[in-house]
Amino acid sequence: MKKIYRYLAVVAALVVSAGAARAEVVDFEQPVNPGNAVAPFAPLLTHGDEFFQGNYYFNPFSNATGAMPGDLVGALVNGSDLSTCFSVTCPTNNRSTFYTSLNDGVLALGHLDNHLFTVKSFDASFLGGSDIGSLPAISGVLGLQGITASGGSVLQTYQLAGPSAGVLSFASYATTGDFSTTQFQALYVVGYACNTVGSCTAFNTNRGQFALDNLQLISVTAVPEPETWSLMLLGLAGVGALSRRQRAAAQRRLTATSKE
Amino acid sequence: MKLFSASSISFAALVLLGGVSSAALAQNRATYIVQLAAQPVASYNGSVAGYAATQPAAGARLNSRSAAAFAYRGYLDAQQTTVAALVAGAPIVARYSTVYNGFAAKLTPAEVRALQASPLVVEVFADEARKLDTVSTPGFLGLTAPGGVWSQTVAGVAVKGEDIIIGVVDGGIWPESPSFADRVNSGVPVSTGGSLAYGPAPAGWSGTCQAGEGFTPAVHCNNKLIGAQYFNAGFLAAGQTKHWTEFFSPRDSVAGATGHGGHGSHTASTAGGNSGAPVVFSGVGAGSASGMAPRARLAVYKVCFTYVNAAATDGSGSQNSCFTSDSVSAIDKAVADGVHVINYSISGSQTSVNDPVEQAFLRAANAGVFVAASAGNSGPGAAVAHVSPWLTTVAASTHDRALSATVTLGNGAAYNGASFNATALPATAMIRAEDAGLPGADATQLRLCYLSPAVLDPAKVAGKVVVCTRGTIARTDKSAAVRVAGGVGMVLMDNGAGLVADLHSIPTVHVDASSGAAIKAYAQLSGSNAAISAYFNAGKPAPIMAGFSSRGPNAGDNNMLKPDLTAPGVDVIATVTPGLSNAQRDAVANGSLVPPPEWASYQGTSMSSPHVAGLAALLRQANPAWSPNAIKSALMTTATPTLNDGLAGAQNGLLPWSQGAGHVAPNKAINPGLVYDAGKIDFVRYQCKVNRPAVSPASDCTTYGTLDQTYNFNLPSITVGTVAGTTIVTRRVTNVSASAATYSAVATLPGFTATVTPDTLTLLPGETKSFTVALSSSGAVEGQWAYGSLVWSDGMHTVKSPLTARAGKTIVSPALVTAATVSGSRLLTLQTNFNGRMTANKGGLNAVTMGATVALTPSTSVNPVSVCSAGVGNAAVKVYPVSIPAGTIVARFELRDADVGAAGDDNDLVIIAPNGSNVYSGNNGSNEMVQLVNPLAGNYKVCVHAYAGAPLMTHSLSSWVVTTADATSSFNVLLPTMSYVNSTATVGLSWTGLSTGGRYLGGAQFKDISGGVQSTTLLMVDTTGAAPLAYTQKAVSAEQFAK
Repeated sequence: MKKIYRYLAVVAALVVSAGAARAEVVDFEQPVNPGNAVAPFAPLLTHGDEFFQGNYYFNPFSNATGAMPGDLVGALVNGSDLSTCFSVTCPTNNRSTFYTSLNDGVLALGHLDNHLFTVKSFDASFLGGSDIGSLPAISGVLGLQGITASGGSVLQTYQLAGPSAGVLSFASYATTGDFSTTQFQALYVVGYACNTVGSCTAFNTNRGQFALDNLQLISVTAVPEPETWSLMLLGLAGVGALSRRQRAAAQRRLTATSKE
Repeated sequence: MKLFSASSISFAALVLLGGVSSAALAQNRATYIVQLAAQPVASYNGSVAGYAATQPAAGARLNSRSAAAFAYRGYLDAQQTTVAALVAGAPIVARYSTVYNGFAAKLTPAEVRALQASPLVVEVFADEARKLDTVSTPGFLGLTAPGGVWSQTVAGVAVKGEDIIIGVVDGGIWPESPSFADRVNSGVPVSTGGSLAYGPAPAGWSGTCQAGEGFTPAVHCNNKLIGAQYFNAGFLAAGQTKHWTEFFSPRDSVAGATGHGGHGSHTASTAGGNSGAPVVFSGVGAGSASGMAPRARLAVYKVCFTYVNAAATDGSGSQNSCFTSDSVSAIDKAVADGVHVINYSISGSQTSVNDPVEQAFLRAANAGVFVAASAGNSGPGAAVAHVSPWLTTVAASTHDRALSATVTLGNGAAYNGASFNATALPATAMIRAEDAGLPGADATQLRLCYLSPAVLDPAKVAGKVVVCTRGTIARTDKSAAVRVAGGVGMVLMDNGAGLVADLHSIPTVHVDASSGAAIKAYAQLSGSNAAISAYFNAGKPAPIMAGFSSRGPNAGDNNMLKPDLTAPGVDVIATVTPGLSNAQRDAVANGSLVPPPEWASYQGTSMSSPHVAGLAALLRQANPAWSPNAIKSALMTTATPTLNDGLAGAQNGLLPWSQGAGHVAPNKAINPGLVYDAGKIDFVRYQCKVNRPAVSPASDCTTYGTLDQTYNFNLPSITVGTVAGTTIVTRRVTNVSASAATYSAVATLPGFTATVTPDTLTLLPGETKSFTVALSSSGAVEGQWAYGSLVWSDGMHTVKSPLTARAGKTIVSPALVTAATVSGSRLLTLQTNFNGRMTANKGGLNAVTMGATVALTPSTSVNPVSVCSAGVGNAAVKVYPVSIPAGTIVARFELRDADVGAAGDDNDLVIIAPNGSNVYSGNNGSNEMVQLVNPLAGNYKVCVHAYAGAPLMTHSLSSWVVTTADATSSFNVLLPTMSYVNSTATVGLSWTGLSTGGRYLGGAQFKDISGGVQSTTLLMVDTTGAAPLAYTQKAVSAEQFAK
């Protein structure tokens, strides 16, 4: 698999000290509503929204040119009532609430206390349009890009199967190798859509869509340097800091192609 | 939609109904075709361990007797046996292994379900009864011209079909015809005497000649008619009673008043009948006839049988049908036998390539066998059949022979019409049918000269010429009715369907409608008389599309043109079967009578298809390496336009819906320059797109990929159902000439910009290159087809393709989303065809407005449309004036049984638009709804008509008018950042804050970068907890009201 990532965001370096590890499974079961998140259309999620699950913040955004707040990039879907999935094809084997990324959207996430974390495993599925009959056997690729404390990045990709017996289904994935042990201060999750000749594209189609659930993350207590620490506090306290983070998000430009 | 005619449909119903009482169906068994997953022999690629591939190489024919084929057939047999064991009690009707892997069996519903559950089974199809679609054409097609195909040679042998085997899947053969003899005497084919004109069957032939009633292989097969078999398992399984005119053998059935024979012999002789065969009509000599490939060998596969049916619509008491299970058996055997070409003049699916017959033809094409199939006789409506890209679908048009006669009236006026009248009739008293009825005769039946029931009064008709009108019943039955009543001649007035020279039982001339009207006017005069001349060949402009020829667009895939081309199918003279008595028929059956040959003029796409089968045989002989699709391409790209048939709109014969690429021109087709070839991989990729469950093994879709858009199938025609933004069509061409050539392209399509890239191609002999055609609207009217062409030329060859496209919307969204909760969200997939940022208007959700209760007195005699148009209500009609403002997304008006005074009240709903057009919703009961999407602003009238019910009927009208001014923050439409050409986008609808017990309506209008509304989605939220109403929704677009 060939991949080209270009990451333009300037990420502040953090001073990290060793600390206790804490495992956490993000299952998207905590309610998300305008009262506890910046998500005015929840469960639909738009560019620049922010919501929280456990000790992690989630920042879905659009990587396309001209992205604006209000652009649809995701949704939280209740698997026991798929009426939300009116003419998109959601996976059918998960009765709990899961995250869906829409229209080539990117999901950024990180620890609320700025702890570094490792990514161990997750469940994921391709998310199809109204007609999944002509999807190829490998319909998509999920790209996980971790940002290290030094600003470097590590990418791992996972194949998402096409329909079987007419339905799409979640499958479980475990991270491997360096990716599974590297500590990240942020993680970007992006979907690629594959065509029948095995060429997969992350952006410029709106077909890079996926469903995600049960992210197993292990955080490590980290002590950020003071300036960043105060910024994080502001971020939790008020909208002004959120919009600053959104501006940072809006500057991010991921362009990726992949050929299976 | 699956069958050609109402009669076939009613027959299918009869099979089911009749079956209940029959012993064979005591367990409610019906015949099904069971398709198994493994590939049949003709397309098996070696994927099963231990079994070598049996699929022939490109251009080669299947060797069905190879060790590998034998072994793999054994493997399939074992599989079939395993599956059949799942339904151990079911009688097996037929087994297939060459072009189709499976079997036909009589199954109960439970057995069908058991088979459907088996992983070895792909699909289970109900058997269907299909019907047959019903010679000077070699000269008309130019075959006999100096330099024509017949005068050319390959390896020193004239291109007349030498050693090419044409398989005819049809109604059998009448072997006594000189068309099928293998001996010749003084240039005339003869059954006995003379000298042998053909050697043994060509190499690769492994078919048989099968004995049966009136058919003895040693007598009836020969070196011309090398194969003759019949397949009646499906027919027998259907439980019908064989009619006395039928033979359980390869022999075509008897014709005559109650028989239906002749069709199989006609098509076989048209495709490959001997040249120089003397034509004799009921004892009248009429020159000689020849098939298109007169030196080809014939192998007939009889699948159509006549059975007793007292309710037959033609009054004959019998009907002829061809069961798909038998057709699949026959195609299976024909390919295994080694035929090069198959003709199939039998109806077929108009929508699906998954039909068992179409799938059998797919395997035939993979095995290198060219298939010609008839487009159907349901024209001029859009009902073209055989929509698969691997076969050639043939429409029917006229040729230039005009057998004519003159009717001369006593007033001196003379009119020419179509006629095959051999004996002139002197001036004879005449009468209009309208004036010649029996007491109490039905006026319409009388005008049409019904044979049964008898309507003509012998006392008025005896010794006279009767003027009848065409329609409803067979033309020859009308002359028979005149003859039965003692009449001596008939003038047949046309009904606009076109003149036909039939062989009638009394002197007859068929005149056009205006001549007929003048003749009728004269015939009412006292002392009127008419004389009818003997026939002569008047000649006429041709070709013109036949009115009966089924038109496109292709109902299964509007990105694929069907029919492919047209060929002569009107007034085609070829050999048939004679009308015999029951005793004569029995004598033929037991071999004690050698019957005479017979000839007749038939018409139908059944007649045009064998012309193309015969031409394909010529091209195959001249170019042995050409694939079936290369032959099809050569015939299509060299075809020429027909003349105008004058029909209006999409039925006009000049359009590709009617003639496809045009009328065949074989002298050019033999040297086309370029071909648009396609083969197994293209077929797999197409099926992966449109018929994926039938692809076996399923991994083929991964191995070969899926066609991205069906307009990219490499056909020699280009058809795009929706051009939104820029649509790029890909094609590839192969140089099949002997020398390198440089071609230049010219593409034209009114209302569109059509750009060919590259627009010049230099190709070495045998070389293939690709190109694209980019289409974008340049003033095209949305939703209307435009017709143009793509032409490649190198100065010697002109390679022409019909180019047909329709501009469409850049956004397509679901029309309606329904919900039942006070808040919620929905994710919708939209088709997008532009690059840029989508915008939307929204309105709602608006609660229903309930009108006051209004009482009306029901009346069935009121015309609610005219009352509503006048705008003044009456006792039975209430008029509600409604002002629709600009920016209205949807206006919806509803009546419900729940909102009327008494159960069973029947209220209807009418809406009159500002321009006076109307929409009427007149269901039984009062559940009525009319909805106007994106209506033009103006003053509308909504009217409730109390049609029937309680003496005083009350109602309360529900209405919604949702405009863009109704946008609120409690209903939101969320869009993606960007949209892309030829892709999809997900949009979100969310709503909050509704109350329970309400009915709400809102809508979103989606707009592309031009700002124009491209698509509208309505959101209907009913929080009352009521079940959805059962009514036929009438959703009306602004366009409909703007007409």
